Amino acid sequence: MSSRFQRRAVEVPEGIAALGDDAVDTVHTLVHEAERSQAQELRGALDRTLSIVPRPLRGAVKKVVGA
Amino acid sequence: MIRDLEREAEIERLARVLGTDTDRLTPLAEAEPEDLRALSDAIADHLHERHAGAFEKAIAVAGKLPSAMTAKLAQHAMGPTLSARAATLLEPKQAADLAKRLPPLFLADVAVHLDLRRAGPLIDGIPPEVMAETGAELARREEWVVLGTFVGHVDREVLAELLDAFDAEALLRAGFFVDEPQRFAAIIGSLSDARLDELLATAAAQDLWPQAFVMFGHLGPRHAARVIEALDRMDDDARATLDGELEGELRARASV
Repeated sequence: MSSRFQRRAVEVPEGIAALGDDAVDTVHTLVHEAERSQAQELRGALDRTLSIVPRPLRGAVKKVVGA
Repeated sequence: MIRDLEREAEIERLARVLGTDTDRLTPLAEAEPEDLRALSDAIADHLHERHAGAFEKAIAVAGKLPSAMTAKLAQHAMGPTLSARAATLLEPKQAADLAKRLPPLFLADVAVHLDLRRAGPLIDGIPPEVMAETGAELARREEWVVLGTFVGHVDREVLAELLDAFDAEALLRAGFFVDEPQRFAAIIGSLSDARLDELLATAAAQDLWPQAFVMFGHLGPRHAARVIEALDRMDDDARATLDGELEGELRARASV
């Protein structure tokens, strides 16, 4: 496995690592992008939730999510 | 050919988990399907754990709101990808109630992103008619990998209803991706002779014998014998498209 990625969050199976650094780098780049995208989607989801939930319930929702 | 189809399916699965296009996975094009599956599972676990707190909060919010409102939020605030990841934390009863309130089009979107290793237990509680409608939508979209994975998880009684929604091509293409080989007996067993004849005619007409024999290769003697009988009913031209070696293997299986 590429030493640069040994401490990365996702452990790449040996068979994938054997394909070379290009494959391993691709995996970690895409995982990083997916993490960022998921974080962004979650932020958007909270905003949309607060705009959809009727006003009387918003306080309860904010309390649960800690917003 | 079978390994190529498996590899293609796993590349597609990995792209879905990562939310990217298969074009970006070109450096992994030569990977073994088993390695690609292991990588997909590891990444799905990582993405779930990376924001586990947020998904838990989403489920906690759902618990405070009426089901109709939760369904609305799933569809319009969370969207299919986040809903699929959060759904794995639902109680089966909650999941069943929500599924009834969501349109098949959205459920099909969710199904594409659902990790059935985690969500498998939720499937049993979903009403058969909802499963069938969602399955039909997935078949319409030619989501064979997703359908095949679902077939491996649905209750045996629901399976027959789900299969009714599939035509022969869908059965062959999705059947190829069923992970649990013991399911093939239930699939073939639930088909009438007419449906089995249609399955073989489609395999011949569309060159789908490899997909058919992935299914047939796991049958016990009783079901293999039914397939042999159906092969014997085929017309000569259609029958001629079948590889004699594959047929020989099936005949051997039927005579065990």
